[in-house]
Amino acid sequence: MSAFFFVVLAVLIITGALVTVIASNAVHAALGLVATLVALAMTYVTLDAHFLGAVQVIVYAGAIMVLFLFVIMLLDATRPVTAHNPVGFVNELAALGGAALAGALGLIALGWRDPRPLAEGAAALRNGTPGAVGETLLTRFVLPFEAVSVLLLVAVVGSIVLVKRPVSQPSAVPEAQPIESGERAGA
Amino acid sequence: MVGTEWYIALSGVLFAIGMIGVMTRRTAVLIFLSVELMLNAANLALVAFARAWGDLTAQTAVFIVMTLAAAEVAIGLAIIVTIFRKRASTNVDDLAELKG
Amino acid sequence: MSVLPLWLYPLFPLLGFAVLILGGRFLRGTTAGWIASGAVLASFVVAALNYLNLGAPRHDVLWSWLPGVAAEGRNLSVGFYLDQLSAVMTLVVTGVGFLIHVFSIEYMRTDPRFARFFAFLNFFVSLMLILVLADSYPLMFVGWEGVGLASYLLIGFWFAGHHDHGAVDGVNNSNAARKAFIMNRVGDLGFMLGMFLMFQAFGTLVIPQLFEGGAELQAGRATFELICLFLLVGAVGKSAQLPLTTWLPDAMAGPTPVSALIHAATMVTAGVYLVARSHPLFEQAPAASTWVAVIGALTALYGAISALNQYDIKKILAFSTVSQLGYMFLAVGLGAYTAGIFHLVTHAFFKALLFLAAGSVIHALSEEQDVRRMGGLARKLPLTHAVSLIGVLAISGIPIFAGFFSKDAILAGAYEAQPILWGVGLLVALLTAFYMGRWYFLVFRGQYRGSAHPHEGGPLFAVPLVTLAVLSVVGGFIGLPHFLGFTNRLEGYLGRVLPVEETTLTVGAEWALTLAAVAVGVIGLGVAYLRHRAGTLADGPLRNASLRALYLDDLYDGAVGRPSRALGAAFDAMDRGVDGAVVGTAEVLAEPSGRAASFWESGYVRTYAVSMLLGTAAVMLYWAFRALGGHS
Repeated sequence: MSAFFFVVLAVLIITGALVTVIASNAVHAALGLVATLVALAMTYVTLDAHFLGAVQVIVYAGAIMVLFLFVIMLLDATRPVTAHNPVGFVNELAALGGAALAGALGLIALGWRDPRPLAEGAAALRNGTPGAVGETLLTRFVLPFEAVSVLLLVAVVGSIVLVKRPVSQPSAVPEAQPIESGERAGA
Repeated sequence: MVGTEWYIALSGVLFAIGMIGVMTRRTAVLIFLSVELMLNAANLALVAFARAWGDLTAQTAVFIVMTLAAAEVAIGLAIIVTIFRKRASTNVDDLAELKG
Repeated sequence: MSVLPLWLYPLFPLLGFAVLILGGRFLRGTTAGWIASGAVLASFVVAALNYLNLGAPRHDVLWSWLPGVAAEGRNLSVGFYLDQLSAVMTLVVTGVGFLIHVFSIEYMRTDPRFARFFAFLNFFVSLMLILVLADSYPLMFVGWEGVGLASYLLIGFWFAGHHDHGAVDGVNNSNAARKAFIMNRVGDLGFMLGMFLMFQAFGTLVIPQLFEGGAELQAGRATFELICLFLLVGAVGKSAQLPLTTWLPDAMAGPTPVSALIHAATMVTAGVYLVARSHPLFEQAPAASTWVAVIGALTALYGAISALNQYDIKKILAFSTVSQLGYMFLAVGLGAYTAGIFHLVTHAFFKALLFLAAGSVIHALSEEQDVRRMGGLARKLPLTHAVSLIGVLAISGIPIFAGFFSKDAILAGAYEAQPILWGVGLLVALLTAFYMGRWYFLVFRGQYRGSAHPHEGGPLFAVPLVTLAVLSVVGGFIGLPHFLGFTNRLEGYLGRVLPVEETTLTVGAEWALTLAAVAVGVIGLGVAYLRHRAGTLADGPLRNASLRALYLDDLYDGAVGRPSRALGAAFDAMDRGVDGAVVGTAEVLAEPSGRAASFWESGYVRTYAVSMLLGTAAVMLYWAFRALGGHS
């Protein structure tokens, strides 16, 4: 049964990925990626990573993809690039290299031997619930966790700075000089 | 239970597809989409390894990778928008000033 | 009636802040100001009720913060702690804060960001209450940083310039805000190091656990000294003592009510509060305490000298604040904690009064701040004149006014502990009376030298001014000296949490000290009056040295600013030079091979990516074949 699920999900993942890479309409490509991401989320669930499955749907398929679609619409980039391809040989090389890479990774993968029985490993994950992952994240990895939060903040500030239009800043002037006259009337 | 090797193989294929996308796509946004594919391929492998070793560390790493991806998308898209404003184009081939 | 829950204190201003920051744009007219004032008034009512009902110190733990993070599984709690010391502080913060809020309604009426201003003010009050009520040093640090943030936001409130001064003015305002924020970071480092050391030495940072129950803290002398010195660095930063003092005069770039609330009455006294709060530590650290006193005395002198020849109506008061804060440090450093807190309270009254009076003058003269273009305002602004006179008499230490009693208490304590510091204090008192006299005569006496048409502000100016004036007159009666046969009520109240030193001075000596203090006050005012009659008042003594605040800013610029800029310029030159040299050499050397390589350096990103891909694929293939061969 789990093998059947795996095949279905794998087919979905690969199909979505191919659509992403091949579709001429950018919106279609983005939707293909959404399919891949959702299928991946389900795969995570079959791998005892429930929390990550949920995060994958919420953050990736939700937030990040909306951002993508938004930018595609904003830039009106739905149409494919029709300009002359100045480096046509790249496509062939990419296909060649990609095939070689996939083959190599596949070969390496098939040589994998599990370090311990799979069922045992799966049990140790405690289903990958938010509690279990959160415990690891906030104890052993609390420092990376905080670092990443700072990174997010920097990214937010950075993107604002990048996108905002430059404002001309007047330069500061030195403090006003003391006035020389005007006191004698004080008596 | 499906063996870990199949997940890794799937991850490898996904990675290669993403990489080909990065090469062949000429719209900046779509190159970005392909990069996301590659990141997800890596995530898949990590999750599979987490199960094989019975260690949540890898799942934690995936969580952090996702956060990084979010940050990267925010910055990357901002860069693309900025370039688009300057060039009125999203074709990466138009950006060849570093020609030697 | 029992003591009300302590979380009520910061709750009201925090709610006010939330309402105003989120819904400020929907509020019309002065509604926002009234909401903010109401929130602070509610806190004041809570503070007053608790002040009256407080018996034993009260400790409310709200929730457990960072459970198990501390060593040995200890939890750090978030909670509030109210004892007599914090009760007095909360009264000052909310009471003076409320009056200044009301004043600001009128003062800021025409400002386009009216609601935002009050949101920040409420934020400040809330965080200041958290600071004084915190039950642990980390929570106090939260408040400490929070008021710093509020201070930054309010100093730079007119970051886009104010009225017709335009954008250049705005840049100066923003820079003043940055300066305050950055200089405070130095102090915060000290505060944090002090906290860390305290945790290492005592294993807890919760104030009641540290100081209550009579448990002697166990640590070596050096540990106590080091902790206290670090805390002193923190206090020096927040309270603008030497050497981190230069941000406070610049902070006058903010709206005048902000100067009154944050940079005179409350926030800058946080350093004094910190030392008083940590008094069990400072008692074990005589050397660090002496440093507190010496820094206080030097700062008092520095502030007084710098105030002598300022021309900005607010800068005179700013340097005066620096100087008076020095007095408070002098007091707490010498172990006269109640005297220090006493002066903190009376200073909050009369300095807030003086700042608000200055605000009233500035308002009346359409943003004029130069005292040389004022004068003769006594007739045109009778109310402002009357309350200013009270403020000047109070700060100069003239009897029956509030400043007299508190300053006298500090000077008596100083004479007992260290006659040299007493001498410095007396000199500062003389200078204080002179420059405040100069301030008063230049602004209110003589002929009007400006061109605006002064007009008295409305009742919203009058009520806070008169209230503060009354407090500046009667505020001293809470701490009447013993030797006149009175009971010192403030000392009796604070004595339950702060150590009270029995004086060893004879009644005659006390009289002599008091007469000396009064005499220098009268002399200072008298000299100011004589120079006013002679028409030479505007050019104060020491001329430029005083105007440029003893060149401290220039010193910092020379010691830090200039070298940094020179280093930057050097790196810049080096960078460009090396860059040019390398490229030039490379061009000559690499011409032929470069041509070949430049085919690959096409400039197209995708070709670079393909190079990467091919390389990666090659490496992976190698590993794959090794795996096939069974070597892996």
